[in-house]
Amino acid sequence: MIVLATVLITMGKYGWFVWPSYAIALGVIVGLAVSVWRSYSNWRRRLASLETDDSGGPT
Amino acid sequence: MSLLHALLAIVLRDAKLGWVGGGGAALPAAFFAGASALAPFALGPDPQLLTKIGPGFLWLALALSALVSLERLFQGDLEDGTLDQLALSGIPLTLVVAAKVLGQWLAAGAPLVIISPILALLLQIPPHAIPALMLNLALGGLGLFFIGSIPAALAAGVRRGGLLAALLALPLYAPPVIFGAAAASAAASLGDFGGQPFLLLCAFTLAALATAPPAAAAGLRLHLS
Amino acid sequence: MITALANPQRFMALSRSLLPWLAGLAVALFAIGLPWSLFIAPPDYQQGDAARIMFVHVPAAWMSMAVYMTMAAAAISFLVWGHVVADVAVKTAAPLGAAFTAIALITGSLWGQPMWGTWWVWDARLTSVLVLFFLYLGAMALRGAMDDETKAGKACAILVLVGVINIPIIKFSVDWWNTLHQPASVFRAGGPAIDPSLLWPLLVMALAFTIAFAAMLVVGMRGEILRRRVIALEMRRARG
Repeated sequence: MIVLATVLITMGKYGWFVWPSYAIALGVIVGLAVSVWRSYSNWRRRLASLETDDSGGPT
Repeated sequence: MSLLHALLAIVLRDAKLGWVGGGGAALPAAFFAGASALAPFALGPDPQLLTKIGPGFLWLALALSALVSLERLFQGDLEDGTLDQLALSGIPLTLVVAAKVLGQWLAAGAPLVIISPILALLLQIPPHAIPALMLNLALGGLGLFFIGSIPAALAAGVRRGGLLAALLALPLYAPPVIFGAAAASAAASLGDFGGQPFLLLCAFTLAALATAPPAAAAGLRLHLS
Repeated sequence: MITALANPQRFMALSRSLLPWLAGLAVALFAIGLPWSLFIAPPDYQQGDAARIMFVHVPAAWMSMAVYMTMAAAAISFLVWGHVVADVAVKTAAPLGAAFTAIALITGSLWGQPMWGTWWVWDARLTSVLVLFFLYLGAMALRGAMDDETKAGKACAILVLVGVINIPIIKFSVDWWNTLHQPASVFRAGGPAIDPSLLWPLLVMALAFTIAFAAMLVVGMRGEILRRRVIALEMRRARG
């Protein structure tokens, strides 16, 4: 709660430009990280299922 | 056949192909004229405004004309196998590329320079600036065509390669357009050859002449096999 | 070390052990850097608190150039020695670099409004960074246009190397031309011109951005290597 309060108070103090900048920068970085991780786990899952597939033919 | 003869033959062949196919020299010239004419339509007929903006807009039209012609540089020869023949002929591919670009400039760039005096008058550019402007467009066009050959080579044979080549060429066009338009504006207002921007434009064109053919040749080799 | 990394298996093994450390370090650095930039560092005596945008704008701008140089080095490695892992690095790094450039452009614009009174100005630095952004997009577009992985990789590598001339132009643009963007304050002859109370949070944030990029690059490269394995396996299965 204290953190949230601090954030909201400084938001008012710092004007319109600081928080959107940080939000965009961090949002893009986190978004990239998430998307890159999801793509990686997706391929890892597909590779695992291919390697354990015993039929030897197209599924 | 000596190397020089062979290269000259390539230059003339590409120039002729550019002239013969699709309306000859008239087509690129007409596109250039039409694009330049958009300036008064878009900005209004105020003569003083046109004098200020005219040189820059002329350069914009030059850049667009160069972008539009990128597709025809290598695509046709790649598809019908001529490029394979040229690569096997023993002439260094770098020189083949340089000759082809020069030929294309003769077909699609030089006509633009020739009609530029008329367009200069239409855009209210003072007549005393016309010789400097023609030199500017000639050297600038040469630089644009040469630097554009790199994306043209990389995107040759790809679906919608013309659009891709144009997209890739845009960042590479930024320096010559900036310098060339500045030089043209300086020539129009001050009456000299365009001062420092003109020198930078010349430097760019020289650099493009030297570095683009090897890079484009490397790109072409990817598509030849 | 380079030849050790060039082997895909070795890269996978090395990156698997390295990745948790990279990710953890990135999170820790942001945890330190963000409060420092936002609350602890003093406001600028001229611009006030708006100058805090510097702590995300400058690292993003540094990354946009550093990522491109990484791609250029990897491109050379691929073209000259044929290292597939280098090609994977170029492919993975391109969207990351584009994103950092976009962050730099957007946060710069948000900073420009309170500082200069305009959202955009066509000075040498902003123009050349915009060109850099288009170079990243072009590399991504060229990559996607060809089906043959090797051909696409080599074409992309050539394009990246052709565009590398833009990096020194960006760096020196504020020296060569009269620009609105302020001149170099950190990487300059004579050392940083910025007060330590602002320099340290800036360096922490820059390191945070760098380690985060390294972590994302590694994850992306692992994903791409696995993708190629999946495709190779599926093709072999389809052939029977």
